Amino acid sequence: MTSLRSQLIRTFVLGAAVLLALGGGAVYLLTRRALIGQFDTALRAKALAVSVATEQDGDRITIDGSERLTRPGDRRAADVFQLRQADGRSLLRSESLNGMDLVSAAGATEPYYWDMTLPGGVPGRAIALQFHLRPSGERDERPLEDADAVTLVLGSDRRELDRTLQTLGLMLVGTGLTLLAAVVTAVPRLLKSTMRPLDRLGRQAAGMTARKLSARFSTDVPRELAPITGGLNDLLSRLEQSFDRERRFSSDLAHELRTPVAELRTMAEVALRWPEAREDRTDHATLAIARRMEGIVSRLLALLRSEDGQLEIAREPLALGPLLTDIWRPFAPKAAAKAQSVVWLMKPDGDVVTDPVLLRSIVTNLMENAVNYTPDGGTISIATAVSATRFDIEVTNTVADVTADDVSRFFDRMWRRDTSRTSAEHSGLGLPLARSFARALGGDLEASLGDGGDLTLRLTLVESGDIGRSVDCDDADRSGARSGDV
Amino acid sequence: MRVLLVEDSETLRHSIGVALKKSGYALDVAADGDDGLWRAQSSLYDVIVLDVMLPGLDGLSLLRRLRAGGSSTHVLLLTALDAVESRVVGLQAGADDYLVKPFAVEELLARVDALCRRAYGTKAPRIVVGDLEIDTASKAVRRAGQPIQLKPREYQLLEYLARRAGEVVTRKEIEEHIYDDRIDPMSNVVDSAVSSLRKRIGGPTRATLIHTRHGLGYVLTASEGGEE
Repeated sequence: MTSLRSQLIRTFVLGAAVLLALGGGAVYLLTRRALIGQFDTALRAKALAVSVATEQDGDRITIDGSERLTRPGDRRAADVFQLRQADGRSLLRSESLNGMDLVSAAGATEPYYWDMTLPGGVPGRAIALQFHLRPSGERDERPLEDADAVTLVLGSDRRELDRTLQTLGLMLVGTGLTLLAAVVTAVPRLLKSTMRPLDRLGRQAAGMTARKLSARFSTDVPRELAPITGGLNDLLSRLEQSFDRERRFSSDLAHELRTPVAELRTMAEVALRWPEAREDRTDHATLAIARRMEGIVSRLLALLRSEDGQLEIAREPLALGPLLTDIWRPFAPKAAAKAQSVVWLMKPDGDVVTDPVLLRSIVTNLMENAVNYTPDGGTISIATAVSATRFDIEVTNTVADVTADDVSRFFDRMWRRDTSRTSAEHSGLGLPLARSFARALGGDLEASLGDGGDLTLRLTLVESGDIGRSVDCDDADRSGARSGDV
Repeated sequence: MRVLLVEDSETLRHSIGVALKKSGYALDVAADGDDGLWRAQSSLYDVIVLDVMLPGLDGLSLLRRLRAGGSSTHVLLLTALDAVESRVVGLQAGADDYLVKPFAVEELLARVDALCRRAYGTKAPRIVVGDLEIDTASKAVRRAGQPIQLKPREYQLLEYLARRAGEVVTRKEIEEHIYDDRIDPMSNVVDSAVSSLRKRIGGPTRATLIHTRHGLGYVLTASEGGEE
């Protein structure tokens, strides 16, 4: 796995090395150029002095004070010179050349410089300077001719310059290496200190488990990490809620199944041990338990299919009013027995396009809940509103002792308000399943508690053919989830 | 031994009821917490088998109220909640034992039996009175090494008297511990049962173990003479 710290160290060190190399190189080259420029200026001044001191007396050419001009210094060899005519014939040269020619480019009128080797293998630098010879002792007024032009080649010892450049180079290399060593040493420590908040974050994250999701990352972090810790804390909150829901679901499911399993086991053991105590009710009870468990499993599977988007949606035109009254019919006797008032508010009524099986399942659940949980003498109101693109069905009923907290958990799987879970008629899957079906149809199911204590369940469905996978409405393949058993 | 079963599942109530009755316990049942509390406070029980999640008053609240009222009846909690925290909460509320659903009927009976023994200060499942031996675990009775077959109610009466061997046990106490709440208080069912039990464990050649104390009750002892 790539280490961010190693990567940063590598980048910093390589970057520093490249920058130091480039910087050192630039300093060296600029200094070298300046020093050579100074050397060349001095060389040219010396060459000009030689040219001014050069006189022609007939065939004899002399340089006044040439010994002074070209004498050796304390740590340098003597300069050498050679005077040549335009045709290359040597007119005069230093004795130390021992007859050797100082080679220069022919025909150049401007002074130019080059590196050379002086007698004795001494490294040197030379200048070639063209000037016109003048007769000695008189001022010649005639114009100068090209034929009078001579080239002075003057070579000078450059070892001092080379030593200076070498010293400079060594200093630059030494300084660069020292700085690089400092970078190599300091950067990891600096990074370690800078990345301490990240390490802390990592340790905090390592200490978190599914059982300790209530912990949160510290918000006392550098500004750059604040969005990360903020995002992680938001994620943890969502995870905690989700885990809590799942834990409650698992616990509720376990309890929902433990009781019927306990009933079956106890009945079987008692029947085996005391066969004479066996009654017909034992078989009926066994059947009822099996049906109850089957119902739980069917609803759970339907819920999973619906949540996984595996439902097949078959939309078709429906007359909403007749459908609702048809769904209500089996509940009417119970509502009448409980002296419940039923108010129908359907305006405007009209045709809608949706899946009839899923809609029937949802509305059946809403009506069944309303009748079961509305106290005797209470009111149930069923209202619809149909527009061009959507339709709403609201079932509102009087409730007793329902809290806002209860309403917030209505759609949690396996949640039951009766914590004893005594009733075998309910499993806490009806409303979650109804909402899942509503969402599969591109709508939603919401619950709200009115100021007057009335509970409203509002189903909103859109009439779009794009939502869900539509199939031919005559498709006979109705899965188990489409049985309408909510 | 008299047991109160408080359980909201009708099926479990019936099955556990059959098992307890067939094992010789006098049984009262309640289907919710309020009824359970009323019964627990109105009668004497050796053991209460109590479901935790009940409609109305829940099991733990019932238990706390019972303990707050000074009751020391042994309570076995039945629940579908098996988390350690749930068990701890149950035991801290005053339960003596805890059984998680689903459970084996044998285990339930063994635990109820153990709680009954604790109710009378004994831990061994064997009670010996003279040449009479009672194994409360297997519900087996022997006298002078010979097995004796008893009906459940007879065994129940013998075990109760044996647990209190040497003490005078009143008719009222026998009614409360051996019979459920359907017994007619004016009947002579206790006298009949004692008479029947005497015959079963006695016989013409054996010494009487159950003695009558007129106006007081009965005592089971091997060393004392007395009226039959």
